[in-house]
Amino acid sequence: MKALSVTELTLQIKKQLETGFASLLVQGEISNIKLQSSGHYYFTLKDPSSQISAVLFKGQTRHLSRAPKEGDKVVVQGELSVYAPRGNYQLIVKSIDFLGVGTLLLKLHALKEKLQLQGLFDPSQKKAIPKFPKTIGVVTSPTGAVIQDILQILERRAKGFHLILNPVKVQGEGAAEEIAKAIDQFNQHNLCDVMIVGRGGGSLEDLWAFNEEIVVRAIASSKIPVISAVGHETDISLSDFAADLRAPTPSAAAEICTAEKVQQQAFLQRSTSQLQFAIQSKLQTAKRQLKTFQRHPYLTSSSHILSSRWQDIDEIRQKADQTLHSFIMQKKFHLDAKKEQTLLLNPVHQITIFKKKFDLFDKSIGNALKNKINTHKKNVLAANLQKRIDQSMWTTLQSKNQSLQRLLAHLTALNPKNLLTKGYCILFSEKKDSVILHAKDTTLNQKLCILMQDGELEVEVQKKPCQTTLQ
Amino acid sequence: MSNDVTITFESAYSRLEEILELMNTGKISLEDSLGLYEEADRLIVLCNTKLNQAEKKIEMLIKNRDSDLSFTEAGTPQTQDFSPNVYSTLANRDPLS
Repeated sequence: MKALSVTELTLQIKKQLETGFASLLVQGEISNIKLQSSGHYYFTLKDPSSQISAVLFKGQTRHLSRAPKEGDKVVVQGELSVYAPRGNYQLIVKSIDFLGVGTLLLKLHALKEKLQLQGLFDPSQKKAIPKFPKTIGVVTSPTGAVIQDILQILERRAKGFHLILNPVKVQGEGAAEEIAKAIDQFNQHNLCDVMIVGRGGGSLEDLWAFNEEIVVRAIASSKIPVISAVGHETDISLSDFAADLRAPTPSAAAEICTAEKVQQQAFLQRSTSQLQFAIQSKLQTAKRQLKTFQRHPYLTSSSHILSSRWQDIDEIRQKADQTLHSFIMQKKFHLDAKKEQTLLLNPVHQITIFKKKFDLFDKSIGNALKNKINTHKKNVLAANLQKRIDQSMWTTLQSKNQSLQRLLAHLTALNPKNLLTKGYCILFSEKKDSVILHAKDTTLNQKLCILMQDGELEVEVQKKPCQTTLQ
Repeated sequence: MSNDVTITFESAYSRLEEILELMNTGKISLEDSLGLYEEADRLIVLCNTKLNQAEKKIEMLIKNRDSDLSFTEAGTPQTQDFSPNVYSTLANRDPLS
């Protein structure tokens, strides 16, 4: 066998305990009660031989009719819970009923569970409350506060309504039977569309008839939808669970019956003002538009309609004037032209013109003649001048030619070769590159060349100056 | 107007809602608006009348000692008018309730 850890064991215990004791009613006496600053109550619930710790969390305290205190004998409703960090178990208290009425409460809870199991409180079986009940049935005391509260609300909220009261005893001997019978009577004769069953506030004993099985069954089986209004808002009876709707107070029940009517009245009122607003704004817009139209220039003065027409007419007139004018001008121009032509065709005028032309012609002929004569004159003069120039040129050329001839003769006379014809000769060195002018420029036995008139001679120096012989 | 009598409250009511929506869109011509306005006005009057049609009637069933109903010749339960004030003064005298 495997060893469990403490946590595993605790978790298993927690699971078993918390599922096994999920919904409990426990009777006992409160002791050791402490209110923590968090608003939670911690206490021990005990009887002569046992005790168990219990917690009442802050959230649940507001359902209590009063704060729990030391020594209170109570029946608590709640569940078991294991607090693992400390390894202890405790009651998580959901609600507390203070005893005195303890036995009644136990009876109540037992009956509730029984009826619940039989499906009397099944939400799916709840009927809808009609929106516009024509007749409202009320099962309550004719002398109690409930019928008065209901009538007050109905009179204030609905102008016309039909209420049928089925008067019953709401507490004491036979009350439950009477209430159940009244509910059946409404159903049997189909006397109303919705039924309010209830009574004013009181102790648990006072309200007890509405926890009786016969009443709860009558409500649950009613074909007519039932609104329960039992006691104050904090009192909850089994009738409330069985009813199709629980109203916290009788006034609230009446309000529920007329809610839709009131809403629709409000809608109608709203509609009226909305419609009025819509139509008025529409009319105002239309009026404004109309005013704008009325203020339009077309409507305020006739000239605005006609002005453009007037303008059109003016323009047409102007155009007509212009056309006419230009037509006349054109004709006038043509006339002038014709006039001029006729004037020109007048013989006197023509003669004058011809005369003018003639004069002009005459003048130009004279001018031309003069020009011609002048040209000829110039030509003759030029010809004379040419002759003279030619002559002087000829003379100059002649004299130049003569002097050139003389110079040429002179030059011919000066040619050394001409001298050769007169018996002179020229002595060259053997290589004929230089003329020898002086005897001293020769050497003994030097071969020399002599140029003669008709050819060359080769000679040799035999003797030097002082011997002055030449061979 | 003569048609209005046959109109049910529900149809009048939904037509009224329709008209309101139409009017609020502002797309309706002035002439149509005026027609719709008149129609809506008639419908509102009609709805109001139907809403408050029921006459105010407060009755209490007549029962015998065994809290059984008593019936008229036509077989309907007999009732008497109920005025809470009478009973509240009685209640003050009656220590039981």
